[in-house]
Amino acid sequence: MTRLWLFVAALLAVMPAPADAQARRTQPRQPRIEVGVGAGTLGGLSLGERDASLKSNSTTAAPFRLFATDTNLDPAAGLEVRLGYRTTRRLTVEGTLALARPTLMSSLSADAEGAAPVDATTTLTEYVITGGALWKLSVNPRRRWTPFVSGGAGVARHVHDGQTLIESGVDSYVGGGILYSLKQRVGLRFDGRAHFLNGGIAEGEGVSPRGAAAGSVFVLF
Amino acid sequence: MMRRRLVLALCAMMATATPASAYLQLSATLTGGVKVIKWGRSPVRWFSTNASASGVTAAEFQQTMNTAFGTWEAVPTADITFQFAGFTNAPPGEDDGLSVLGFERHDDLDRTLAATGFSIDMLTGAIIESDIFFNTTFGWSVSGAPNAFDLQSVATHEIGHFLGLGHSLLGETEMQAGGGRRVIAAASVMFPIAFSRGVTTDRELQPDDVAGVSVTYPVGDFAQDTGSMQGRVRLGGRGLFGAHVVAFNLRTGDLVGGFSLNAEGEFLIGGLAPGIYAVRVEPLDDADADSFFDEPGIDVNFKVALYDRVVAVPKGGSTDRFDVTVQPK
Repeated sequence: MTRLWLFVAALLAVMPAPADAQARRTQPRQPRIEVGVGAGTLGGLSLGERDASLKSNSTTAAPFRLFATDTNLDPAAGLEVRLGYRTTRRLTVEGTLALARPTLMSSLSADAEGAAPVDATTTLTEYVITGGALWKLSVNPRRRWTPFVSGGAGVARHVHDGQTLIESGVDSYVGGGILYSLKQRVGLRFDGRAHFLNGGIAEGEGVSPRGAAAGSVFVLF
Repeated sequence: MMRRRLVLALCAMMATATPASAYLQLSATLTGGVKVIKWGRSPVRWFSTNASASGVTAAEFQQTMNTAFGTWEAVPTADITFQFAGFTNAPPGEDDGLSVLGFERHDDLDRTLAATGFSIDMLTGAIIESDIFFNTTFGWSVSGAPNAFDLQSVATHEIGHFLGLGHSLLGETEMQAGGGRRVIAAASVMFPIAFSRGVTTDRELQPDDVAGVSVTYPVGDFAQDTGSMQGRVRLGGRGLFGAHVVAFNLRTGDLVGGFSLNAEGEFLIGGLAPGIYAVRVEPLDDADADSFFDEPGIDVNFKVALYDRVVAVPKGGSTDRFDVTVQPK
């Protein structure tokens, strides 16, 4: 008798009941499109220290420094808009547009003829357009918090005031963060990223790293 | 054809009513207005004299001139070539239609190593003939000997004039006890005072020289690939004439200079690589003003200033005009 019950139980386990199959077919489609809007900070960049140098009137002397410069792109607050597509429960591919208005500052000092040191500045608009992927490290539906890692690459464009000079570079990033579910289709996202800029405002500096942090609200459709 | 001979012992000339591009392009007020002095044909044929100097044969002189011409010809953004036409007994300085380079002795010019003169078309400003003499009052060397001036370095400077470039003020000097100035350092072959004996640094062009020759003889796409900055130098609400304006490329470290060229203090520095620049303004006090301008009224009584804005030079265009305000000494 015991054997029979075991056999029946095994059958039930491997053959889905017609009623269960019907229920799955009518289950609502999982939302896959994710739209996010947020704000954050894009970190600063060192663009190098350089001397304005003249060639010395000697076969051996070091170059003559006319003045010194130390140029940096300051950190700046910015906006971020993101569109994602959840290809699987863990993987989302996404595109992001980030905008910021950082100040480019060059500290001019040590003038050979005693000119007063100044911080020369200009403002530029930075657009970073990237495509990337987000991988959820866990998919437990009972937890509101979901950690993730992300990475991607794209284009950074730096438009100087007056739009007289536009420079483009390659921006790539790796990062991670937390997704926090507020409702079934609405949540918060917190990102921390390391960006690597090659070209653009950092032309000639090789690959320039900088940090970024952002918080956003996302909605699933 | 109307011709006029203009001898430039130290290349004084210039100072026009409207801004010209960077450095100093030589120009003159001719029939029909201000004209830039430049060659209208290429290759430019030149002759070498048979004269030698102590330590330098005529053949070595010709070879050295050839190398110096080649230095300017090798600028990839400039479209000008030269052709050695042969040796001649004609001295430099004759109004004979031949461009002649050679040694001459001028004991009266005890501070002039070399000089360049022109014959120009008075309608167009086109150079018809240009001669250069190298003063054998001084000792010369083609090998960088420590007790003589480097012939190739000085030739490179004079050929800059031969092409129509004026002097650059990208240099620092100090007064000497016996009078005159000594160069401490320079960032242009076209700085008016030569480096000391034995120094061969001026054999190589610097960014200021390259910009100057490229603006004067641009290759086809030069204007589209480079940009310019423009502005005014102001002191107490008025313009400053003859202020030296230096553009420093914050990425490449290149220095290119220019001048404010009218009573409004307007300047225009062309031939700049697109990018971000710091700007420095200084008085014309590191050389004699008359080796740059033939007009009086150069105001040197102001302090050196570093402009408080980073200037973004676009590709194929110019910056908006900006004002640099300086303070009196």
